[in-house]
Amino acid sequence: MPRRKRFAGKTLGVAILLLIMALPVAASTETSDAELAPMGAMIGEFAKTTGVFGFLCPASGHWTDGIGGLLMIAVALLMLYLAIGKQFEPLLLVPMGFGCLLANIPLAGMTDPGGIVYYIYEIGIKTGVFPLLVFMGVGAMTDFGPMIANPKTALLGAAAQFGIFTTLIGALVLSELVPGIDFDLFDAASIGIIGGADGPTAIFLTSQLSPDLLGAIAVAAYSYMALVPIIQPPIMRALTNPEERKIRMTQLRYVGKVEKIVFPIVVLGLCMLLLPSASPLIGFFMFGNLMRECGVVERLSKTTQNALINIVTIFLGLGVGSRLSASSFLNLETLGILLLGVIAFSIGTASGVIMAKLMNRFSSDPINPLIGSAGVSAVPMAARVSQKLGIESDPENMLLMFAMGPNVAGVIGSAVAAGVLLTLKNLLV
Amino acid sequence: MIVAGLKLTLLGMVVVFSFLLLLILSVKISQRFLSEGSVRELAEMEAAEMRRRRRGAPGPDEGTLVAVISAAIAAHRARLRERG
Repeated sequence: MPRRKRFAGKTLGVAILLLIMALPVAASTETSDAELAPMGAMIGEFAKTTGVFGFLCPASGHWTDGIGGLLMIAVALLMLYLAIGKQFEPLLLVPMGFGCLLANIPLAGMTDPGGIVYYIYEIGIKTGVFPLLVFMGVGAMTDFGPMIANPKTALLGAAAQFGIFTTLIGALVLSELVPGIDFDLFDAASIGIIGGADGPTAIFLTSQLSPDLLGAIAVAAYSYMALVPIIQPPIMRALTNPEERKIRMTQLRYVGKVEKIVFPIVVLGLCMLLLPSASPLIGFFMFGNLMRECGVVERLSKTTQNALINIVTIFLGLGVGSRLSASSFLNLETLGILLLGVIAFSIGTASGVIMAKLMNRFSSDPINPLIGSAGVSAVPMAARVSQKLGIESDPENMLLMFAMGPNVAGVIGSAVAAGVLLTLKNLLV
Repeated sequence: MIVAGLKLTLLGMVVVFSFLLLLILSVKISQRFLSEGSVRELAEMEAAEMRRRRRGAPGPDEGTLVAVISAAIAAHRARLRERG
């Protein structure tokens, strides 16, 4: 008997368990049965979730969501081609082009809340974190030695920032004259910063002042930075004569370790006193540089120069690329931005060269005007252009190290200019 | 609006130039105090280099340099031989 009782108890237990398991199954079977449509309708509904349908018949009914998306994919492929085929700033254009591809996949909603690219943009770019981390890496890669050895060349870096402000005026003039282009003061400031030829600074300022233009401005800034060896030489040749291009500069003195360690702290001190609005940019730049020069945190310095800047660049590119949607990119304003960008670079180059010629009049040490163009940041591309043109005139005249002075001063100059433009919000009445 | 741009340009360029002029000034002042250290550092480096040379110890890259030069000479001779 006890054995039969045990058996009965077991059977009851199993039966209850089965009942519990079966209940939800029964309930769910009931709902999925109710949702299933006939085969023809099912295929029709499925077709509506495909990309082909998304391109041809966008949900909003506006052309920019459909055909515009296709055009943006063409733009993304062009960016990938320029990066891979022509090697134009590949480190940024590959992630940016791919970010643009991802952002324009119809119905995937990767740039909508919940999509991954949306979060990359919101977390890293809208907050300004990614450009600042990149700037820290740039600081860790920068040697201020040539500038400390010949500090007056820093003025060339200041003069080249003229490109930023003339482009700002240019954007406002364009806005007044051309119907369909409507830039306010914030937009104009963000467009002007393209002339700083400094990617992270341009992205940081634009993300703070006019995030809607971020995609177009980043594309313009990086494209023209890649085109520095094509844009600058004709302007440099036009503004100098062969004798000036042959000028030899006096040998730079040796700059010791202590001087290099003190420098970033001095720059940050000036920023603290004069322009706190520029301190995110200058602060991170100088922090990176101090890690490089102090010699006791080599591990941190190496990480900042390599792993960290690479990781951040991937997400910075993806995030910026995600802003390249048809509605914000395929318009007259983008054409205006691309036009103004090249003007910004040209004026920056010209003012650097003219400043060098002017300084040559008053300075006892000769200055080769070719190094003036390096004031437009774009480290170290612009300095290499000065070197190349110098060698063309005199094969033994090595200008690279002299050009690095204005080149790194240009980075500080554009960060200061960005700091001034960031105060715009307080300047408006 | 354009007038606002002009005002901003004036302010911006004045600030950029003042900042970099002050930077030049600060570098020059720090140079006055610190350049002695730089000169000493350079002298020490040169002295160490001289000592190393006097001892006749090969530098870290000298072996590679000798190998590269020997290879270049061998290649050159081979080319001459080929030409006849």
